[in-house]
Amino acid sequence: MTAFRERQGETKVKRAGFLLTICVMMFVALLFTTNCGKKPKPEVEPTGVPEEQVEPGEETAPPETPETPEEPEERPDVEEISLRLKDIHFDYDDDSLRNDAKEALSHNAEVLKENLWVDVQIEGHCDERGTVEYNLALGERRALSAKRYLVSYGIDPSRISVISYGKERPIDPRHNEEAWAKNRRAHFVVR
Amino acid sequence: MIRDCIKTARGAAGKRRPGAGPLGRTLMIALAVGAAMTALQTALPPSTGAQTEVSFTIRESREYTIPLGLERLSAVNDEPEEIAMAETVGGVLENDLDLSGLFSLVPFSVTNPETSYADLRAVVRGRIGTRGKKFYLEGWVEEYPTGRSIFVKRWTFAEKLSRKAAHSFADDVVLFLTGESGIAQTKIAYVCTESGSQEVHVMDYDGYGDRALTAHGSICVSPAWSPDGEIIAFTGYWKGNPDLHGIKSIGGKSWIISSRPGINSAASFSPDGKRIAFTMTTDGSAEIYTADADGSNPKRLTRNPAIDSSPTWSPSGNQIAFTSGRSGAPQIYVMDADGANVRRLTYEGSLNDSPDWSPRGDRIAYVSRRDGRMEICMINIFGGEEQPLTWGVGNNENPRWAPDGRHLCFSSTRSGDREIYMMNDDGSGQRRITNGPGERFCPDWSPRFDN
Repeated sequence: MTAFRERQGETKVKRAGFLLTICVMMFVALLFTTNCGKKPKPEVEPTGVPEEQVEPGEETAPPETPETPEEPEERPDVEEISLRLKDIHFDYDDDSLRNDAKEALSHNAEVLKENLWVDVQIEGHCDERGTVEYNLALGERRALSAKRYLVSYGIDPSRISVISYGKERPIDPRHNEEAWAKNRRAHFVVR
Repeated sequence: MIRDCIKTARGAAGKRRPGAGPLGRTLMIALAVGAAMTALQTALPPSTGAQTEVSFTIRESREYTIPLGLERLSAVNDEPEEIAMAETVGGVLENDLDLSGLFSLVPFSVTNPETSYADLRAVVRGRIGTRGKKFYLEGWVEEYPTGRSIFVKRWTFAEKLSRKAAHSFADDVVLFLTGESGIAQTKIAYVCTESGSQEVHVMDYDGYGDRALTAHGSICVSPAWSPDGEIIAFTGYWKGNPDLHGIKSIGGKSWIISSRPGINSAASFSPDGKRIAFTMTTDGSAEIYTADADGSNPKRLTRNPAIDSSPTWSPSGNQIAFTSGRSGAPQIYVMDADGANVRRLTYEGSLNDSPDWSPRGDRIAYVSRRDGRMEICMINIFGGEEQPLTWGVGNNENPRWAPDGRHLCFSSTRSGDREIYMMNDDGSGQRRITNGPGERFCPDWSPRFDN
């Protein structure tokens, strides 16, 4: 009787071991196929630059080219979420939030709450009037205004980074009021 | 006789001639002028305990220039390559002497004396020869009409460096006639978008010899020369944040000077090269800091929730002028180099920004919004008349003094996209230095190099 039960136990162990092996093999196979589905990381070679002859007192080095950082893995839907986040706009020389900006920010806060696993970078921009340096600072103030509002809406501040591009990245390169109004903005990029 | 002309024309005490005779006289006059101007400053509140700059320069009259004969450079041998090189070098030399603003140039020929020579005091002459694969320039300046030699010099150069040889000759002409070297060998750093991204470039002050210093493929702004001309600081977004970088002006790998979270920008080296002033937002708003030239030991100077930016040192290193929005809109302020004794300098107009302190110590150039346009303006460091130097054409920004204190470069949109221009310190002689494609802006004028 005991021997029979022992044999049954042995069989059970054998069967469990067999099932475990199957599971591990399936898991490995799954990993393998998923890996095959990922895009290979692109390799980028730095471009060759012509070297200038060295002259006494006139030594020059080729212009500095940084190493290209590895591209991050594509998270699904990051771009789609970015597109759902609305730009907000500002008055001239101002970083305070207009009502239309607040509305857009409330919408953005909802989107961020629906997608708790993403972070966002807020870019601050200015129109071309005013100096490069002053606009760098103003752009950052605009991004921070937007960040404060999102935080007041319950978004974790550690999810939000800010960067100012001053007047260096206008979305509209023309030199008129219409373009300037478009360029005075905060733009949201999901990461 | 020439020395008398020099004193009348320059009136400036030579930094290069300490202890020379004219210095004492000029100082006394300058102190009297300074005292009179201080007495007139009723608009400004008195700055208690402020360190004063020694204003030792009288602005020279632009009407007086030294009549200078310039002879066509000759070729030692009648060979085509020598003749061609004489043309090239002669052309650069003439342009340099013209740009200096010091001379009224008279074409001179020994064999054909003209009546216009009557006013001449000196003549520039020279010739080009070859020695092996290289050329040489023999250049000399003579008193007129005596022919007495003021100086003679020879430069040997490879063909590629012909412009440099001409610039060197021009600077020596200025040195021997005025006591202070010229600026023909200086350079201008600036931001260029020709490659599609914003990169730091360096070119000769006359627009030639342009080369890229960076190929970051992102955004660079605000290059700033160190006082010895060896390093250029600039703000670059290469690592994803506006960080302050340093790079050797002859090229190579850049390094980080400051990379605090937020903005690290608007760098300006102290006149002794040991410290650097710049703007950071790491403490919550845009403030001005000074640090060692490598970025260590930053010290905060401004404490104000408004934007404080664009620092520029006085040539003594004792004061810093900067832009602040603390009274509502950007205006120019001055403070001691440790942040004490802040006083407002500009009062006219709704926007005054981007100051640059003259190397002569007496004036500050800056940008002012007038009639909706940005104009380059000038103000004495004690305040007073805010004088526009540009007017009515395009937006003019980023004024930067040449090391002689008599020229400025700036960017202007008067011909379309931003290009680099230069002018004399009274607004005369405005001329474009660069030409597209792309935009060129944020210029900074190099110091004189120790060659």
